[in-house]
Amino acid sequence: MKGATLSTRYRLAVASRGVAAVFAGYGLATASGICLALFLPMSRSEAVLTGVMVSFLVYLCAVLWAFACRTALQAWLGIGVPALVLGGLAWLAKNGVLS
Amino acid sequence: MSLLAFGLAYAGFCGLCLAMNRHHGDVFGAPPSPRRARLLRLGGWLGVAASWAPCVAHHGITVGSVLWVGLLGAASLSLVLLLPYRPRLSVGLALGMPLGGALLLPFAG
Amino acid sequence: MKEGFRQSMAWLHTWSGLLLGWLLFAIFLTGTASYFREEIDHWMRPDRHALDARALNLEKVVASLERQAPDAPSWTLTLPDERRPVVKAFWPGGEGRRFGSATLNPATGDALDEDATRGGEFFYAFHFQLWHVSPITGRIIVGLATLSMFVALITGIVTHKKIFKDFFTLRPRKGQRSWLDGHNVSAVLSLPFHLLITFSGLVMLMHIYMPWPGLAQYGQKQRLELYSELSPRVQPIPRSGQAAPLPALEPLLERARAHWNGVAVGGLVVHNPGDANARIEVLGSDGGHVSRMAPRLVFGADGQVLEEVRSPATVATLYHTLYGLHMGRFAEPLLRWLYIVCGLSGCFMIASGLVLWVVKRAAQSAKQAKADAGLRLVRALNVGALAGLPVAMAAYLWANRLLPAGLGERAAWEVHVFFITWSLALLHPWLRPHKRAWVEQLGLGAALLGGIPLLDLACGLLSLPGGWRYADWILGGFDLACLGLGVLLGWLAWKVARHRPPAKPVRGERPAKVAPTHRARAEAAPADGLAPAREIAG
Repeated sequence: MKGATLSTRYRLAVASRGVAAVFAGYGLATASGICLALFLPMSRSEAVLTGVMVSFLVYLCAVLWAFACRTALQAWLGIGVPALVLGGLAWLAKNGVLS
Repeated sequence: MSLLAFGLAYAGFCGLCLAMNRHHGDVFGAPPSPRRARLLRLGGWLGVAASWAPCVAHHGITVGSVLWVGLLGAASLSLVLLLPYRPRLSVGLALGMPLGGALLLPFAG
Repeated sequence: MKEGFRQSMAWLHTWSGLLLGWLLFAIFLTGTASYFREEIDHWMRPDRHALDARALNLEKVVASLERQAPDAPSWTLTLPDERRPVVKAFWPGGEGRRFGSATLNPATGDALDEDATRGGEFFYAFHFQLWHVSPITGRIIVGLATLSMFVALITGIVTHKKIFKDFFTLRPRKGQRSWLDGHNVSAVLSLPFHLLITFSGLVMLMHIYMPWPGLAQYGQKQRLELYSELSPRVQPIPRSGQAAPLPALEPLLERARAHWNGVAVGGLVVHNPGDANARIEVLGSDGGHVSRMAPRLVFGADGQVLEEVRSPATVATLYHTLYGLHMGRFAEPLLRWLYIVCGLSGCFMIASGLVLWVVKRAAQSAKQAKADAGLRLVRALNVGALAGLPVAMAAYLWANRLLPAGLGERAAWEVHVFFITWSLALLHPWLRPHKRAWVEQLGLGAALLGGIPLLDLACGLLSLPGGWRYADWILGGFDLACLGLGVLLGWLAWKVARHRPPAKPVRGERPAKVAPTHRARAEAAPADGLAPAREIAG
């Protein structure tokens, strides 16, 4: 990737990974933070705080994943799927389906 | 107290450092014998661990531990900065500083 | 990214570090300076130089507050200490604001001028919310920089294969190799600090960066309850409506000190002042405990102990400890200086990383013999951001002494001087050859910082320590520290000026020595199996 000319395809792939890392990664961090805050068996302030702290680590891992995996598609899937699952769980819990 | 802790940490790092072939070679011209390397490593870890005691004894366990981590950073940094320029002096200090710290101990607040 | 895990992490390290590296450097340097913000503040306010923390007279302070804020539901007082000889007071309410505040002379209770300068608060505020942008925007930008720092740190650890083997390795005067060594050493030796500062920086501003878990649990209306649950506080008590004088405060402080086995008192909160239902909450000082939460003892209007505020729960304690470690308020002078060393080594880590990018890239584009716009940009930004910021910070200090006393908005102009100087420093490298730009800016920084004692002398504000207490040394120590930093910058300028890029190395051959011979011994020591010529590209 240090070649003199970088193909447009390569640039687009990097940009796509960057978007996945920053935005989808934040989504995943948010979803996991909310799930921890709602489901951890602690007092609510403790659960929220744990959720927040872990969410920053999740964000970090998501960024690393976005650039470590083999293709940009994998970057999106690896971050998007768990984000949707956790987000769905949180939505269900908030709306009283799980309780 | 702090000087003793710093000296012990410095000496400890110096031991760990000299246990490595490259650095032992830089200072003494030859890599250490396996026995000597093991002793240096053991002494090094002991020095680093021992430097925790004066920190905690004087400042309490929480603040003392934070101070200890800071002193470890400063001690290793001074060793690393001194070693390439004055290798002999840097090793001499490893012997002198804990001694000086211990001697000054009665005068420390 | 097709090249395997380590390569992709190295790539991410390079770009996450580069993209916001200059901003990170600014955050780190102003943040490091903020460990001395009380001292900077004191230096920048000559009208407070003669004050003495030991002359505290609480009766006069209270009388002054009774004049200034008679109807306030509570007064919060921070008592003077050896770092800051003034009483800080604030209270809810006040004219058209959420809070009123005042800075008081400890001996007389007279209000002191707060608006003469932004003082050390400017660097402090800049390091987490920037300036000339709204605080929220600034904090989000700083948050992104913090995240990229976090990513760069972790990828750096992953990439750096021989983190322990290279622990003590610094090979001077070997071009790119030396920069890499310096980068590694400054990162690895203070790694606990860097990780702590980065992670706690995110956690401290969690209400902006990650409010959603709190909102999900508490809802929009009750969201502030999270923070009162995290930091247990005194339950508010309604006023009785019966006037009653406050009990004498001095004996209460004495009893709190005894109760805490000698821990000093840092401040107090008077709830319902002047009422029969008054409560006096005495707070322990910042020293002696890492957590941000000081011990607290609550007295009633009759001077009897009512309760000891409980300490927070487990995870909340972790939160307050991270917070306390980041702020370093508990640090006595030695530890405070260690904080500075760690902070400066963080600055060096960021700066050397940015320089390393240039060194590598310059070697590449020299091979390809073509103009490189990216290289030009990074070079110019490096000079303006890395050397220019200390110049701007020093200019801010000079402005504090030199701007005319009658100037309108003098405090704002000090900040303008900072930004104007920094802008000029960012422009200057485009007009000068790269090396000259470095030398000129580093030299200017050295002159400005090293000249601070002379400036004080010229203004008649040079203060020699009159004793061995910490407070005696703030002003003299500040001048000495500036002189020391000036010498450091001057040494850097001299090193850059003297630097001759080694003659084009031929593969497999040692380049001609440029170092003076008396240092040859260290240099001649055999390095490990690295082929030296290949490593010396810068």
